[in-house]
Amino acid sequence: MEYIIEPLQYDFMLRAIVVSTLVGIVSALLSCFMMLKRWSLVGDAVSHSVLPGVVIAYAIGIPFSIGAFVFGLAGVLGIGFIKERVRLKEDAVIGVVYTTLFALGVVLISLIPSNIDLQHILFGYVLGISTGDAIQVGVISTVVIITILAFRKSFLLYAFDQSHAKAIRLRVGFYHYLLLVMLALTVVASVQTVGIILVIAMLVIPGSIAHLLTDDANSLFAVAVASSVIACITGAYLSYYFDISTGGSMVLVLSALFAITFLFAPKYGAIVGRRG
Amino acid sequence: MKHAIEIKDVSVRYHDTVALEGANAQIPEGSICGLVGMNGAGKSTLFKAIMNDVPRMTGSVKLAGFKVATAQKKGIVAYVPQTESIDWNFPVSVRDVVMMGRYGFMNIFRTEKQKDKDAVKRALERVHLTDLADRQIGQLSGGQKKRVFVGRALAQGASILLLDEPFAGVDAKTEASLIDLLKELKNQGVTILIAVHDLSTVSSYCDHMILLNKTIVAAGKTKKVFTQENIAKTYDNVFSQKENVPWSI
Repeated sequence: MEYIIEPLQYDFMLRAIVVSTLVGIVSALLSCFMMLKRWSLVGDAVSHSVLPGVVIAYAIGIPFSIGAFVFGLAGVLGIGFIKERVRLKEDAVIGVVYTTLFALGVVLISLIPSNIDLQHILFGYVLGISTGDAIQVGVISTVVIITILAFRKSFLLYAFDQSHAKAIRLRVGFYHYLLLVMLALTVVASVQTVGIILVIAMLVIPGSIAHLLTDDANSLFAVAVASSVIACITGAYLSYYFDISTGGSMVLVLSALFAITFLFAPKYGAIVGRRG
Repeated sequence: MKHAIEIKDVSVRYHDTVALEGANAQIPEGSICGLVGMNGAGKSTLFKAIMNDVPRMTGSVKLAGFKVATAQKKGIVAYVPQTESIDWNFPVSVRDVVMMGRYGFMNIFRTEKQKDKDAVKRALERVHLTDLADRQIGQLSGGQKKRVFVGRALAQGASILLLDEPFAGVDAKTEASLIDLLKELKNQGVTILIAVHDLSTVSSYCDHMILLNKTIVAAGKTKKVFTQENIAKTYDNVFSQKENVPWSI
C-alpha cells in the first residue's frame, strides 16, 4: 500500500497519473473503432504527421496541441485528397504522406533553435508534463470521451455497414470526418504521455485485447478502457520506481496484457479458446 | 396496380465507362422480382441507383411514388447486403443489428424508445430469431445470418427490400426456407428485388424479372420475359468476355 501512496505525494507524479489515466481512457475508446474500422495505419499516419506541428507550435509560442492537431488532421486529409486522385492504394499513399511530414518535423527540429527534446515528443515525458500542458490534455480528453460515447452507436453503424447507413440517410461523411478529428485529438492528447510513436500501441492494443474477450460493443469499450487504464497507471509506477521510460513501460504492460489475453482468452484465445 | 419501384431511363457512368444505359422498369407492389445478368451487367449499379449511391446518373428512380431521398427518410427501402461484405466478428448481437433498422427514426444519439423496442421484437418474431436475439452474429448459421438483415429491414418498416445475392454459398434447404420467408413477406405487401446468380430455380419464386445486360433487356412478369430469346440476349457474350470488367463488383 505504501508503495502505491508514496509516489503520490509528489505533484509531478500525481499529475502524471491523472494525465495518463485520461489518455488511457481516450485512446482505448478510439482503439475500439481503429480495430473495427481497420484503421491502425491511419492512426500511424496521424501520429507521425503531428511532429512538424508540435515543433512549429513551440517555435512560434502557441499551445502545442493546436499545432499538433492542425498537422495531424492535414496528414489524413492529405491522404484522402491524394488517394482520390491517383490509382495508388491507400497504404502506399499513407506511407508517402506521413513519412514526408515526419521528415519535415525532424528537419524543423534541427533547423529551429529551441529547447525541444525530440526524444520527449517521440517517446513521451509524462513525469515532466507542465500544468498548462496537463490542462490542455484534460480538456481535449474530456471533449473526445464525451463525443465518442454520445455518438458511439452511429460510429458503430458507420463501421459496421455503410450501405445501410447510407440507405437510412445517416450522414456517413460526417461520421467519417468526426472520427478522424477524434483520432487527431487523441493523438494530440497522447503526445506528452507516451509520445507520437508509442501512441500507436495505445490506439491498437486495448481494442484488440477487448475484441478477444467480448462479443458485445459496450463490454468492448469497458474492457478496452480498463486494460488501458491499468497499463497507464502501472506503467507510471514502474517508471517511477525503476527509473525507466514511462511511455515504454505503459506500452509494455499493455503488451503483457495482450499476451495473456491472446493465450488464455476463454473463447477466442490461442490456447484455451476454441478455434475458428 | 401501384408501382413499388419505377426506373425511368436511368444511365450511370463511372468515369468514362458506361455501367448502365437507358434502363426502364416498373415493379408492382407486393412482388418478388428477380434481377439477373452476368458479372458486370450492372446489377450492383442498378441497386446503387435505386439507393441513390452512384456518382453520375441521368433519368429518375421512384420508390413507392416518392423520390429516393424521401423514400429513404421514410424508411421505405432497405438493403440486405452480401454475406461477404459483413464483418461477422463485429461485436454486435442479432438484436443490435435489427435495432439498426430503427436508427433512421431516432435522435442523433440513437436513443431507443419503447416503439423501437416493440418494432425490433416484432421483426425478430417475423424472421424467427427471437430465441437467438442475444447471440453474436458470427455464431449463426448461414440462413440465420441472412434473416438478421431481413429482420433489420422489417424493423425499419421497409416495404421495399433489395437483396444482393442472398443465396450465394447457402445450401438448398436454407435457400428454400429463405424463399418461404420472402413469400410470406410478399403476401404482406412487401416488394422484393433480389439479385440472383442461379437461373435454374429463379422462375419458381420470382413472379417478376429484370434481365440486365448494361441496360434492361427485358422487365416484367416472369412468364412473359423469362424466355430463351431474352436469356440469350442477357448472357450473349458470356464466353468472349470472361475477363473481369472493371466495374464488376
